[in-house]
Amino acid sequence: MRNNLSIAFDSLSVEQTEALLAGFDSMPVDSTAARRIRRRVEKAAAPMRPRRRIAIRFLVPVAACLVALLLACACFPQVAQAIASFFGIQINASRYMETDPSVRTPIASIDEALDAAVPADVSHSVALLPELPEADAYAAWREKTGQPAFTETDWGWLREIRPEIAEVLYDGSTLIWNTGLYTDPAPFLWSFVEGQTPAKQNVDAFVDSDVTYTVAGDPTVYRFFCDSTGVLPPDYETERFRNDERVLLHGGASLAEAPAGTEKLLPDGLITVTQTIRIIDYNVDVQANIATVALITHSFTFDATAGNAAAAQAAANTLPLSGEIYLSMDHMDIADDGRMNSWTMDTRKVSLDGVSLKVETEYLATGIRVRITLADAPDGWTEEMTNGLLRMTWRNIHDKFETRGVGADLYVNGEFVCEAPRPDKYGPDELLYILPIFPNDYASVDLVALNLTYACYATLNGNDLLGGEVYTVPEGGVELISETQTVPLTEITISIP
Amino acid sequence: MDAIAELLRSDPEWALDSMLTAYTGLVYNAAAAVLGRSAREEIEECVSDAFFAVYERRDALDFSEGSVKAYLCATARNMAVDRLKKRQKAEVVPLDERTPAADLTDAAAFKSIEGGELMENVRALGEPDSTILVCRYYFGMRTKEIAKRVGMKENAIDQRLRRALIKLKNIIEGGLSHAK
Repeated sequence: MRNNLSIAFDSLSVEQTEALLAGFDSMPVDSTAARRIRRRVEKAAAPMRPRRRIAIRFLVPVAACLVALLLACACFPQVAQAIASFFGIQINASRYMETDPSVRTPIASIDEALDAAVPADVSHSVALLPELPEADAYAAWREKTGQPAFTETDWGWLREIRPEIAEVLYDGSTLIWNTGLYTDPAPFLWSFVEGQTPAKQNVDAFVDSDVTYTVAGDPTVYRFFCDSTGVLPPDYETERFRNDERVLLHGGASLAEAPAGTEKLLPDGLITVTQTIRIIDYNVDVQANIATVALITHSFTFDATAGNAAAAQAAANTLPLSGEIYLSMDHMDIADDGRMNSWTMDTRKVSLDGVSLKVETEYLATGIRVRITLADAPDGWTEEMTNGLLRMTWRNIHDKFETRGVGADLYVNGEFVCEAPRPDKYGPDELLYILPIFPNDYASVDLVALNLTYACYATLNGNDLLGGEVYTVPEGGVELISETQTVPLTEITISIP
Repeated sequence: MDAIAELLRSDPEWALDSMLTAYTGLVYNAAAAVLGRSAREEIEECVSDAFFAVYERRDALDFSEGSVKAYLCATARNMAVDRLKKRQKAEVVPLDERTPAADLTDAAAFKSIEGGELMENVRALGEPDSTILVCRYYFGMRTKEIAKRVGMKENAIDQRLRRALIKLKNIIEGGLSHAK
């Protein structure tokens, strides 16, 4: 039931709000609600993004500024940091693939990998709502949300959507692809450009997480999980649409990571990937499958050989640790049926003598991939200690570590560049980084180092963990309010081929 | 100017992403306290509109007056209050039991002391009282939730809230207590 009565603090100015919320930086929110809000905001903001023509208009002055800034770097390392952190945001395989190719800052090795994949469409089919196994549930939900019943007359245009594989990036470790969706006519695009079609339809598209692939000469159908960022910004192809080329854009960037410990995500040769593109009615729900109005099954091929060959260059070494640190650890008592009997967290002084790390380095088209795992440990070292030590953390926007774990700073030629970028996925008990250093950069790079710092919980939700108190995590979870204390852990030198 | 405000000038797209990552929970709770937690769709609309409004008006906003966080929460709060006013009906609906904001006596008394000095005096209560008060009256959190956040027992929270409110009124009105 809703609150229709009086409330406190109902007329605060921004200054008053600022004063009142000092010290309040985060509050818990249901992740599904957060995702819905994000999609809604990003969709609203999308038409405001600068168009390609505008971007091109500014390219020349931007290039001029870049020269000036790079010259400044030689004298002022702090300027180098600022630039590195700014461009570091861009230098990421996912973001590269999400950027319109015409406005990307080219990275030669990634572009070569894109060319080497040679993607090609195989087949596609479109099934509208009445033809889907869950048709009754979807139709009932439409009715419940007050939307008109699905009819072929209103939605038949969805059958004309034509998926085409646009780009495939495979570097031996990560697979990302973009798919274009085309149709004629193009009410689909109108829903992105103008917010709604003339018929008040408003649709969205994303790739289902369950993707399959087959390998030439092998009848087995393999499965993997992929994340879809959904449709890309509408400025991607808007000009072509406006020029009546009847092209509907769109790419859904999808990604999968090789499971930890596996050498390659895919074997050499021709790979056939089959994805399901889900079209949903935004008026019914902004992201749930229950709003589905069509499913497009699309298969395409690409060649994984070049990506695997590029990833073949690798190195591994062992790094011993020493001394003592305060280590924050979880202690979980899990019943046979999987129920959690108890969960506590504490911070203890632990000796690192006898502990060594395995550092594996792969020199990929998308950057240098560094994976750090436990190589050896002395008697008495526990899984809880490994789990407490080998977990990644990073600074928040206020330059503080909020959670325990290892932070990694990247130094190139002795200068701090940025926090080492993380991949989109990583596993437990490992530190995994993708350094934005590409094959074309190797000649100009002498020394690459990762400086690792360990942050432990000093206090946690009011408990003095450094003072020996133990925090009991309540059933159902809780927001963690913490203060951390950091200590240098070690420096890792990354060799350059 | 905070980091996200600077980013809003230099890289709005990245700033939007950072805003959503950092403050969705905070803004959600600010709006939910006004609208009631069961009004999910209305809350999400308010929160989305607030994020978009700050993003859209980034060049017109003066971030020396307040951080991005403050603009987001103030905007969401105002939008939620506007919705609440529009929602008013002849029939009075009881408070949602999941919207614990305050009993009527507290809410009415609290409302009477809102003003320019209130913020200073709330902070002047000291910790954990000021945090407890903001959690309860700004974010509409239940006693149980506040107890988790500040690491105290529930009955201690209620007791401190009552005392803080009396103290606050005494500061502002020179000793007049509204307590039951």
